[in-house]
Amino acid sequence: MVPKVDNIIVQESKNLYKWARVFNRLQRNFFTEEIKLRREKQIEDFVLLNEFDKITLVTDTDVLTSIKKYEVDANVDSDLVIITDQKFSRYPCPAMIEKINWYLERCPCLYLCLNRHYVNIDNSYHDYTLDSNFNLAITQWLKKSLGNSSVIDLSIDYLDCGHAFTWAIPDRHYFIKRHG
Amino acid sequence: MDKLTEFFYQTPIKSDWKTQYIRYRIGRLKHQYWLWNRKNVNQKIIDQYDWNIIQNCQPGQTVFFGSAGYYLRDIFQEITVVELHPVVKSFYPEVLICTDRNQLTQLDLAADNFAVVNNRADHWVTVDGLSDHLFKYTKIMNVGCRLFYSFRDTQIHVNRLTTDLEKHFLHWAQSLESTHNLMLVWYDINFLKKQPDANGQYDMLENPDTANGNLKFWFVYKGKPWDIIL
Repeated sequence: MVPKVDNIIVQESKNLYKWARVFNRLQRNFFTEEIKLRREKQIEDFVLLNEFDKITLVTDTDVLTSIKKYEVDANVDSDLVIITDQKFSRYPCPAMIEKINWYLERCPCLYLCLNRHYVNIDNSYHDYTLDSNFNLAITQWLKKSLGNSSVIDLSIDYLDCGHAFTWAIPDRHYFIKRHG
Repeated sequence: MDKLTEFFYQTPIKSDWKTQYIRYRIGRLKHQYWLWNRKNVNQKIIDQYDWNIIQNCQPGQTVFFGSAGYYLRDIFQEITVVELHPVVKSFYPEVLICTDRNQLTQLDLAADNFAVVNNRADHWVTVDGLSDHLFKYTKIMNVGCRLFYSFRDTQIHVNRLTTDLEKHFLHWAQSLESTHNLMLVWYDINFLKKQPDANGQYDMLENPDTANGNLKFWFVYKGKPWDIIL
């Protein structure tokens, strides 16, 4: 093919995504009426109804603003850590378990949201004994790997066809509590 | 209280141009090149992977489907651009709109080169779903057509804990020769193995090449392999 301009710059492929910090607001603006993410309210009500009031928040976009009032400084002990940051789901599987344990050593209760699409992101971990239902397999893997903690799956079992709000609040929700 | 919503389809989406454009825009990262290039008449930027595709096209009709190919058409005018989203017509009138792959045959195209680069609308299916898309694409391919197909692993349905993803996608691509007459000529499967740095920290990045997809497969339809130029 013959270009119609002489000066062509071939550029290394680069990351062109730039809406991460405002993604929740951006998506909510698509709708004809004001909406609230059900999964966001689930977390907020979990905090309210279980009377957590010292929280460590690990987020990467504009979510959970109503419970920021409970957020404590990094040097203060919290009674609950909430992770919705998508990047957490991009740890290799063994590193993710290490990181979960790291949080549990500092705080006994963890509300963890994982983006299923990033789990085992580098294809380095496989366990062929897990269930064929991927959602259940993730839960089984967490339970198997976190023997000193209880893992309760609070998620909905559904096939994600890009019609959920997974990149605002990840889809898999776990309440993990350290024993002892 | 605001309406509680779990899925997009539970609440109507605005039909105004701005909303439709933003929805298209955030899912079509390559549009950025068109935005950059339209400001400069004499100098054009091309993504390295798109350049590689161009270098490997054979003479004849070249179709870019659902891949913001209009930015390339501003440089190589023989490219035919087909998009699924009607909003594209509002800013690029020369585009052909095809909202349903089954209607591709109505566009009177006979492709010698066919490219689908990380098309968001191809995602959210299993590899069998990808095969269904490819079957529809082959309907407008000439014998010997070169197919350039790439996507991201993270938006394909698969049990990521019980499946070796590299083998899974490679086996799928190789199987298309017997099912679709698409012979795999070249591929690049990129799952970057994450290793801790000196401080024990991991990078938190997505798999490489979010613009083009980390899984790239080039095929020939009912034809012979060509000497790849990279």
